[in-house]
Amino acid sequence: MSQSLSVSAARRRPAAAPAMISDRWFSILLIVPAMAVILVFALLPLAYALNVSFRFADLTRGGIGAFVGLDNYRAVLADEMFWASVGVTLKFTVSAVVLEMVLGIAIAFLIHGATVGKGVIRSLMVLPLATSAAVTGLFWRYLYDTQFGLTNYFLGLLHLPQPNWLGDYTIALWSVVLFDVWQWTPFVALIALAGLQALPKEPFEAAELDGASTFRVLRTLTFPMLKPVLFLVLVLRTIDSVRLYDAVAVLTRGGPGTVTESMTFYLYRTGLKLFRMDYASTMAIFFLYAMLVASLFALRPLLKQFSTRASEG
Amino acid sequence: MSFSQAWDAGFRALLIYVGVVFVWLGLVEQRFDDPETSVAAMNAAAALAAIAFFIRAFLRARAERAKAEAEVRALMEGEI
Repeated sequence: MSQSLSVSAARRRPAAAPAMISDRWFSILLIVPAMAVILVFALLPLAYALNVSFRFADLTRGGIGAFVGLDNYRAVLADEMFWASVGVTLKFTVSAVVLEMVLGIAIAFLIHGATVGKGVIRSLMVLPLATSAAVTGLFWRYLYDTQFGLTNYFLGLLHLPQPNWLGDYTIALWSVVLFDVWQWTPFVALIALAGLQALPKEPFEAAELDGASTFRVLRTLTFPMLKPVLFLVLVLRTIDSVRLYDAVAVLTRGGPGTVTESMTFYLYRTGLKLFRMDYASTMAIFFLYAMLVASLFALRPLLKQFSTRASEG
Repeated sequence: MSFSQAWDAGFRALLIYVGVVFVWLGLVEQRFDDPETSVAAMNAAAALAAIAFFIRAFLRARAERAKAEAEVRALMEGEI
């Protein structure tokens, strides 16, 4: 019986044909499409921007001009508007990310503790994330409208002052922050919630048996165990906030004056409104450099954690 | 030093070079009367910082490899 089985199996399986291509070349072939996309859409534009940043490129006076060395870099470093836009970006990033993290974690704890309606709340929370900032920004522009906006309508009903949300230079940036917080807090909450639900139950049951207070459980168990997840969210949100463009473009277009002009919006205005592609490319190189260095520092603890886990495993 | 370690250290050395250039252009260059001297000094300082970083990374990688090899040797001898 066993003989007949082995014979039929041998009949079914044809003799191994010589490989058409080696494993090494096959693996190279698999990564070629991804590499081609990166080359065409990332590396070539980067090389072009680098080239333009060393040239005179005022498009109102013709195309890409002569080589000017480091003059564009000197000009950008001495440009007060550039540093003001860096300041706006930093102010926005710090305030938005801190608010999103605090509110997101708090909401995640609330949902985690909820007994009914978790699925509905989770579905509703995905809505701001599923819509682009350009679309939701338009809604928020109508909400913030001084004459027809719902926000000022309700404030009026309560006899509260009705500020010019996007026109007052003291609060315009905070209005953009509020919009960003509304859009991205659910992201933090959903990731933190997933982290909370993935935590093992045994340490918490042991702590409860030992009579540990809620604060002590949070301080010594929940947050240390959630740290990798929260750190990853923090890094992702920080990187995304520094790239702030769409919210500013839809809500304020950098105004009033330039109080909400972020680095990316100033870069866009310089390159595509003033047609100074040389300065715009130089700023893009600065931006890229700052992001690379920040990412290296930000991801270092995470990578160290991964390597420690790998060596332990 | 393996290829990936050399690639990583080389990339970081490049970032250090560019960082020194930016800092120099923003803060140091105005102290120089002649821009050509400034650019020459800047390149020298940036290259020095980048090379120093790369050599440090190279020595560290070599020391780590030697330590790992010693650990493996000790384990092998222990097993025998």
